[in-house]
Amino acid sequence: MNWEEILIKIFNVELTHYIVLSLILFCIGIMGLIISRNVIRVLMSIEILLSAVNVNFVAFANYTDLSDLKGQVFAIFIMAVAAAEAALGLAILLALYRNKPSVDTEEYKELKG
Amino acid sequence: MEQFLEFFIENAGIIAALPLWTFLIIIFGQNLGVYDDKRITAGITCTSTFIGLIWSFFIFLWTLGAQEPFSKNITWLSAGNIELSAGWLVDNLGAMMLLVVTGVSLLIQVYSHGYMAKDPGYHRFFSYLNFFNFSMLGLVLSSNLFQIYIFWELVGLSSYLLIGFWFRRPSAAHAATKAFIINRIGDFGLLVGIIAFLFFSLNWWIASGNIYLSFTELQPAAEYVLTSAGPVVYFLIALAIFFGPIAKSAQFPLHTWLPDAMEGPTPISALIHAATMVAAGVFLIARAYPIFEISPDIMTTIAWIGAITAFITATIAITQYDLKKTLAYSTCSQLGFMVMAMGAGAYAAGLFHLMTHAFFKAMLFLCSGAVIHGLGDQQNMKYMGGLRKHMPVVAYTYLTGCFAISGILFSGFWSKEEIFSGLYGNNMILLGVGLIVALLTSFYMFRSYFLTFEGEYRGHAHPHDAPKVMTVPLILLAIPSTFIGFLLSGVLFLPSFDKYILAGQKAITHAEHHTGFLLPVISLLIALAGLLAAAYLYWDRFKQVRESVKITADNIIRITKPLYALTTNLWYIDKLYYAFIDNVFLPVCNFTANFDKFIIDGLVNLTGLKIRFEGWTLRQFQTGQVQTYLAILFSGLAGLALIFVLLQLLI
Amino acid sequence: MEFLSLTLLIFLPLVGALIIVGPWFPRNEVKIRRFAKGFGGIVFIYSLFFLAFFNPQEPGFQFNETVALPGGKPWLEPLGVNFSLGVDGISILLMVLTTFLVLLALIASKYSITKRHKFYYSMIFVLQTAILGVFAAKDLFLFIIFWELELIPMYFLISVWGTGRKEYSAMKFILYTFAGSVFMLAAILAIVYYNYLQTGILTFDLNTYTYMKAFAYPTVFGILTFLGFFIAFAVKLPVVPFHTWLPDAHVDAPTPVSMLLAGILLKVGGYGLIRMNLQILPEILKILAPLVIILGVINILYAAIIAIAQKDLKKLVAYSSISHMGIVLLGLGAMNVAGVSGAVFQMMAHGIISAGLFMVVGVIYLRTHTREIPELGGLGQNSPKIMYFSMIIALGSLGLPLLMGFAAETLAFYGAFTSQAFSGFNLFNIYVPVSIQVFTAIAIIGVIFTAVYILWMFQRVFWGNMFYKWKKFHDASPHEMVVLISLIAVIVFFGLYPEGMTSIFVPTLDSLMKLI
Repeated sequence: MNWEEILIKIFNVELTHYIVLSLILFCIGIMGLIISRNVIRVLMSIEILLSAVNVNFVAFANYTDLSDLKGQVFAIFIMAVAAAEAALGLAILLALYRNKPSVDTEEYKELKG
Repeated sequence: MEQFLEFFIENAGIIAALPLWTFLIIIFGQNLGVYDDKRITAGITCTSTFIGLIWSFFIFLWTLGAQEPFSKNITWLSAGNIELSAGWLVDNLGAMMLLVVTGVSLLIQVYSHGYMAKDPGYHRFFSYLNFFNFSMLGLVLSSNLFQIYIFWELVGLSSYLLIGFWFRRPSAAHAATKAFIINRIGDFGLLVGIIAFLFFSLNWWIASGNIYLSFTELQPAAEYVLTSAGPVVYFLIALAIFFGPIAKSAQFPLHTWLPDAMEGPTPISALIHAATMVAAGVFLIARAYPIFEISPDIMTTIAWIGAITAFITATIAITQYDLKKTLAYSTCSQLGFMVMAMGAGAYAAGLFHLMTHAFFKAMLFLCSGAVIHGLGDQQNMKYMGGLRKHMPVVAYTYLTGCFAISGILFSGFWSKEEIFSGLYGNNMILLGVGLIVALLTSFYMFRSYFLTFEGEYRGHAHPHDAPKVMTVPLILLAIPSTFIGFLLSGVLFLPSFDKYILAGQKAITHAEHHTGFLLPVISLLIALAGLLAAAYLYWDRFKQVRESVKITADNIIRITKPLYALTTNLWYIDKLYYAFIDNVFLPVCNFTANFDKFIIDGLVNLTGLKIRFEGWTLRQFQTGQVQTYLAILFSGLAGLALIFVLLQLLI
Repeated sequence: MEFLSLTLLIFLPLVGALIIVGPWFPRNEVKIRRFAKGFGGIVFIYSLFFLAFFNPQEPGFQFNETVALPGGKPWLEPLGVNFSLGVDGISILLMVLTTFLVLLALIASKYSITKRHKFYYSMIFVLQTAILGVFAAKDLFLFIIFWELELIPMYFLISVWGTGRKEYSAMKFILYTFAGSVFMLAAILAIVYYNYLQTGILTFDLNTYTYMKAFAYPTVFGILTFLGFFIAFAVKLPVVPFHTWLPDAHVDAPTPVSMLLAGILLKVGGYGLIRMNLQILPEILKILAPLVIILGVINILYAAIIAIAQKDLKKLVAYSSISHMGIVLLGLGAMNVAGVSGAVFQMMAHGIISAGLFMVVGVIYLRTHTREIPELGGLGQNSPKIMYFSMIIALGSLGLPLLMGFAAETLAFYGAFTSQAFSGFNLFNIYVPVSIQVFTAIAIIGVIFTAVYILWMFQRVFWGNMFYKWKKFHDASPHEMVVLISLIAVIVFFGLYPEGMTSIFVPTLDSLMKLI
């Protein structure tokens, strides 16, 4: 086995690898979402979730549908939406922070209807 | 002449309609401010009653020559197989009652003009009076059992209104309510009886095509019911119908309303609670006689109820010190007499007593009214005495009444004698009760006379004589009270009352008459004994004798203490009723109300509460924390995935 | 005759509601009330025309009309639902009663309603539309739509303008009625589906289902359907033990709404019993007549006994309503023309009389701000007019002859007593030989109890000594006089001349009963 073969073996990334990566990312995101009380962290976890989705999109697009760029386009859309969401979320957080100097979700329980 | 009289018969309903019109005229005239003169009210009232009297007289003339009763009906209410009619029936019995009612009413209306002159509710009083006349005349003219029920309740209403005439007095308000409710108990029985009777005879009425429950056809219908329902059920039906008279004619055990009814103005006591309305019960028994007649059991029951009433109320009357109450209990007792006579089969005698009683009892009440009026609303006989000097006319008419009611030669003698002879042929025990009651009657009536009019005046007010407008009716009533019994007893050449009243009634069995001299003499002697006893105990002339022999009223009371307590406490009947109401009836009502409020409504609210609890339980998962939801969501997902995988592995 | 359109009659009040509630209408209280009264009067007069042109001798529905969508399609074609209306002898009377009482309630609203006038008067009109719709609907689906529609205005009328625990009472009323109508919906769907299975035609038309004799349905199915209808109407009527919403709702509703509640809404229940249970499932009613009669007797006596114990004037009147509606059940269970006529007559009589009683309570409450009977007393001294009007209405309620209630009770009692409905019944497989006659005789005891609570109440409120604080109790004002006198005029007129009313609905019932 020469080094080329080894390289090919190492870098021969199959669809399964991408899916596993996406799964790991998704689980990290969910875990962060569930266990963190800090709103910033929650937002970050959501970003991670979205990147997991993006990975899936691009991977599937790459392996199944090479002529169109639907998956990639979706990923870009999601990035844009994620950016907007992050901006909005942070803005809301700032507004809340002005009322109550805390970033703990427990502290904002009274907001529920 | 025939056709002239026919006109009055054809339009007999006018007699009842006249007071109704007067009633409406007074009501609208007063409330719309058309007039304010008391004389107009009295004038139209008396005129209408007078026209009624004349009309009744013509009807009476017609009945003398008539063979068949006249009746005229319209359908009042019909649905399916039920067809109820209203109309009028004119026969001898009705004509007699018409004359009595309009005659007594007229005199009492004249009297009331004087008695109520200073009362602010003068017009109201007269409108009530007219309403009563309407209902009573309607009752008398009723052509069938259903219609008589309508007017039966309406006379109850007018009695209610008039007892509660001075409704500001709590006692009057209470008495009025009591009278209506007790009468309602009787109405309940009457209604059940009528409906049950109709139920069992429905096929008969449909087959015969007669007006339902018509009085003229009652006898064949009753026989049909007897065969179709059997004697036991028939007895119950007749008993239910008899409930009506028990309440209306104040018979034991529903007699307690009548003495309380004396809260009304005295003319009302005279007209309604002595002369006419309370006699409606006896009238109904007479009207529905075919129903009672064919069942010996119910006849016996009626007779005994009458006897018990006559005896109990007579004993109560002995110890009363309230003048009006004495008269009220006396009325109960005399009504018991009439009912007893009816039950014993002395149909004509009972009605004869009804008529004579109407005159003299009305007069006695009006006399008591004059006394009360003259003494400034004093009713207690302890504060009367010696009033003969102050109001001679009243005293002498009262004395006439006492003689009449006690059965000493005046009209009461003749009617009572007939009852006695009827009882003699029927039931000797009842005759004994009757004679004892006659003794008691004579005693308490003369007791009241001596306490009121003889001796020294014991009160503080200044007695003044009654005005002419009040004494003239007294004198006019004294005339029939004295003579009518003798005139109509059949001794004279005049037509006998018995023959007249029985003329149209084919069915009614004639009570046997033993017109020996023994019975009248005995009854006369008994009445005289009562008179002498009363005179001895209560007349001041015998004071010396009394005190020398040491037998005075007080001593007797001391000796017979338990008996005395029994009668002064009205045999504890009223107390028993109140105890029942307070300790059983109202607690049951309250219990039911609470049961409804807490148990039934509680169950409903419990259902609501249960649902709320379930909602609360579910709400615990709804924390509002997205993270919790996520945790649940994904653990669920993980769980599902695990199951899926396990399933894959297993299969 | 062309100008008489039931659709117009039903939706006329709704038009009035829209006019009032719109922003174009002035906010002035007096103007709103005047307009409402005028509009109510127009609707009443319009409904009188229907009565005038109604031919009682003609069996079946009259003034029939079916509103179709453009293109001649039925209203809800896929379900076989038609917007078809029509009235017979029973419903025409109840419709006129509705328009009459709504008019009086509008007049009576003067002092009782002090806020949100636009909303109030529009709600009353919506209620009127709903109730008229229930009475006129000839389609089961339409019936249930109008039936539910009436809940909405009623909820607001109680919860916004009421007193006391008004939200609680309004909610209770809604939940009760709603729970009941679920059963009705189930029953309606059951018979419609059954018909569909048998004939393949999907229709909600009432005439199709009248006397479901055409095909033999299983008895169990019939009984379940019957009970479904019965529960819905039993809640509305109300029948013990489904009655507890009524005292609360009546007590907490404002006077005019109490009048409508007692006067009309209870009648919807009675009407439904006759329309659905009697007309659609007479065979089942024959089987279940003992149940209906026993419930009727319980209603009469139980509610009357409770009424005796009441200290609250309005509660007393409310319980008297329950007691009187028992007579409707009694007449219905008799299953003969006289009995059912009694039931219909009792609905009319009670509609008028109970409206009058609630009016009287309202009049007293307005002046004293209390409804506790022990706190009142001697009110007749200053206000003879109120006393006498109340007396006539109260006497009508206790069934005094020559007043309306008597004719109704007479018919119902006579009908029930002469009925051959049953002479015994099976209770848990034990034959109980108690005939309808015995039950009727027991029910007549209610006559005594009614007298007790009515007269005792009257004595305690109007007679006897007066408390000093009621010295300024003033007599009836003109608009109260108008309401009371019009009610009394009706009570007295039909009391003296009951044929005037029976001649309208008895032919209808005659033809109905002949088919049973």
